[in-house]
Amino acid sequence: MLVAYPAFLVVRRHLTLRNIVLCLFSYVFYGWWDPRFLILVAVSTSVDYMAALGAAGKLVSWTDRWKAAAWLIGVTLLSLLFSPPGNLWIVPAAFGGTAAVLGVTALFDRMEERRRRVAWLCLSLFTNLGILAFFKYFNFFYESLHDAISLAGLNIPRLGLEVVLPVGLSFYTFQAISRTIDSFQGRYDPQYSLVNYAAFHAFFPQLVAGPIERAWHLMPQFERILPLDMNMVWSGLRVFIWGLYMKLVIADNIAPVANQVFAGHSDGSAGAAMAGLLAFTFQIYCDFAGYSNMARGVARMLGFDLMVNFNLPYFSRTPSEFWQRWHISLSQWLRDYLYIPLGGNRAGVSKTYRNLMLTMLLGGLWHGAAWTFVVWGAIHGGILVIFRFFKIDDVAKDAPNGPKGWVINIGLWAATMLLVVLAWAFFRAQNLGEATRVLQQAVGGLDGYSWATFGPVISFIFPLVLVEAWQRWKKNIEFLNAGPFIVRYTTTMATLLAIIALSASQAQPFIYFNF
Amino acid sequence: MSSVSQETASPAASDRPLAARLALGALKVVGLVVYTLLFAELFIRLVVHQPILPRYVTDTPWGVRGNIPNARFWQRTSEVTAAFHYNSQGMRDDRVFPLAKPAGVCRVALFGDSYFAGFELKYPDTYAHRLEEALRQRGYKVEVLNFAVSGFGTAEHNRTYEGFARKFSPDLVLYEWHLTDFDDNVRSGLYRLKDGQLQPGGATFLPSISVQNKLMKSSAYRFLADNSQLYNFLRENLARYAKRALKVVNAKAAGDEEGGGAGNLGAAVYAKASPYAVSLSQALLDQAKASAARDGAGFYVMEIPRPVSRTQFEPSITQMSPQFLGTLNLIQPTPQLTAAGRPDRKLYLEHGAQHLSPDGVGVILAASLDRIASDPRLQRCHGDPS
Repeated sequence: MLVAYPAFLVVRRHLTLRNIVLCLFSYVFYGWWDPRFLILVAVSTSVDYMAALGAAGKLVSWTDRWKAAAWLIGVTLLSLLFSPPGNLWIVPAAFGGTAAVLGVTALFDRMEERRRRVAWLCLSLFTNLGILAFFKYFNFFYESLHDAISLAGLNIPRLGLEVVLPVGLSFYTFQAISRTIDSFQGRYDPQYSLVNYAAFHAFFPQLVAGPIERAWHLMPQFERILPLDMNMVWSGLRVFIWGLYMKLVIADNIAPVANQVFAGHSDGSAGAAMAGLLAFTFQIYCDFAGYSNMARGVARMLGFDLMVNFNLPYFSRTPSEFWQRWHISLSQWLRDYLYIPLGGNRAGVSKTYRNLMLTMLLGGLWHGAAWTFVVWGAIHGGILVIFRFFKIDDVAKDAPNGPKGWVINIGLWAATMLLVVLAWAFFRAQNLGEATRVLQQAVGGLDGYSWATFGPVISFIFPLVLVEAWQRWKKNIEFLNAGPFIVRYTTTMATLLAIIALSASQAQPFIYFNF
Repeated sequence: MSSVSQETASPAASDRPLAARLALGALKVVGLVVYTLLFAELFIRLVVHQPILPRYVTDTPWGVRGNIPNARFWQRTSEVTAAFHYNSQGMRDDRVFPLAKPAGVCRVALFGDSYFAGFELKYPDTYAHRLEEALRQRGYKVEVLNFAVSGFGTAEHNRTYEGFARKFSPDLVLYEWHLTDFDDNVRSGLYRLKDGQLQPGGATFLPSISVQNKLMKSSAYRFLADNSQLYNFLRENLARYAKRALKVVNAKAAGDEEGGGAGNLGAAVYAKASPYAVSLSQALLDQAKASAARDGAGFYVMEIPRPVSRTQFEPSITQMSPQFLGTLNLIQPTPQLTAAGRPDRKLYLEHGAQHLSPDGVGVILAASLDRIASDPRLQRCHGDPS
């Protein structure tokens, strides 16, 4: 940022230059980890640049296609310049792949319009889901197949293919797919600038862990000069600082409590297991919401507005409310591109339940290629179905004002939170056995409930709960940007001091970088 | 309506003379700075209570830091308040020791960092004082001279011994060993290893002492150092990063690609020292042993282990080769600490910088007393128990 920000400020009033600089820094940011995976970003960029135009029924000229091809080849060659030796095989593969895609798109030109638009959409789906399937799910499905066949007494060889998951793959492929689908459905009108699109696609604040932005919200911001003043910069900085606090002070400090329990190193008491689950509940939230806040803060300092990805999810009274507040960009993606196309709640009760289960199962699988995520998704799907079956969502909606309403709301909140907390066991565990062990330990008695067990967790989450209660009461999720100057100054200073004084001695990697 | 009032208000503000506007601006800035400092002090006191452990150190003619002669100050943590007094020779003692050893008296010279310097301990609880008392009770006429300075490693002990302490003709030399010494020895750059041989490095190691000397002349600064938790918090954190950077620079200069190893980063991050740091430390201890032998003094090393919990203690000197350790008179109190450790017993203080508690000093004293008392060099000073 120390290099990127001044460079951005210099060029920010020139649209193309600004987007080139943003794209360049985004590529450096992403490629720093492993330059070779930039090629995947370029593949997705090149294909979806053309596919969205084609899916929208716009002309995809050969100039556009050559531009997209040149982008892919150029990024490939540049990334290989900075890669370790031994990757030259990628060059002919990139040329071959590009030629194949261009050949396939030539076939599209012979189709009538409707089929041509579908073909462009399929190209995007095939490319993005193909990348995702190979890098994220190949090992999982192959190993699962291998185990299933072995159970039947047959034997297939293990491939021994060590596929490394590129950081942020699930985020940018889903973002690319949503743009092309929206273009196909007429909700978004794609434009012809490849540079603008590449900058949007690789926008570094949200490239590796979201939010998964919709083109109709973010893309127009890459097509015009954005106003930027000191108020925006300070406000963005404060949002960033709050995210940093959530990550470094809360998530990283309580992570060891969860790690100890899931590694089987706790004292074996029920209290220790519950403390571990509570710790992970807030670790995952502060880790991911913290990153989202940092991304929003950095984007605002550049003049961009990213969507809110977390809206006080642990104040939810029902599971459906939880999913409207947790990882909002993914929830909305799954709703719009999976749940509703499956029929949503328009095709009868049983199909609604089926659609809920399918959506949550795939939502679970999106997080990682493991049965633990599938079970986690299934639990949430099941909870949603049960709440819908007993019309509990309606009870929450119709809760009266006054003491009776308070009792209903608190009761629903407690039940929802208990289910959410217990379900996190499957999300956190390395395997189903580990999750079961921790859950059995947690519900196996009433021993170990003491301040010594819960103190290290509660002391870090209590200030957060207070702040979020204030945020909910005031309906303002930007805590540090509220109030007059002296209040903002004081709260920001306190947060910064807390970051300096209380940051965990051992930083933990962002959990969602794995997804 | 509001735009009208803004239009009328803003010319009035800009009509003020430039000097008045500048003065008002400056006043606001000063007010904000004062508010920031007061708030930060309050925040640190309420949220992350800091131990106040000022270091009264200055430069010495032998090129390393020394305690400021005749300094008096306090150390305050939530567990202890301890008065400090350095004599005119920079030792934590009310006595001044003549260079010439009194007839019939033996001298034990202690070299160490803040543990032997008795940080977070009242003077009667320090290891140096209690060792002397215990030896006297056993009938030895001894003086224990405490040359410990906070932050010192073996290299600095060696310089202090050669440049100052040997003039006092000690009969026994007792070096404290602590995990941080691996880092300190690399960081100081006073000695380097070249082809396995110990070579002199920098002539001096006086990090930020010239600045500190100037600051210590100011009573306002001393007030801050002695009383402000914010100042102590910032100083500790900045010093930690500066020390780490200095270690890496000096390690690289000495050809240690591992930068001295991860070592002690000041928090709970402990790892193995680099092979270079281990070899350098062995060579420095070898040098110290040879210097003491040249002067006819006995040489002992006592490790202060790192507390992992109230019942677990981790040695670090074991990173050195067993063959080398076999050549040392090594006192390792880890088994005694482990035996004494109980969940309800604090052998190390927990709200300061994890120094030994008076109870912990008692354990290491018990672990070392017999070895020291039975050294043949002290027997000439043995008389009736006093």
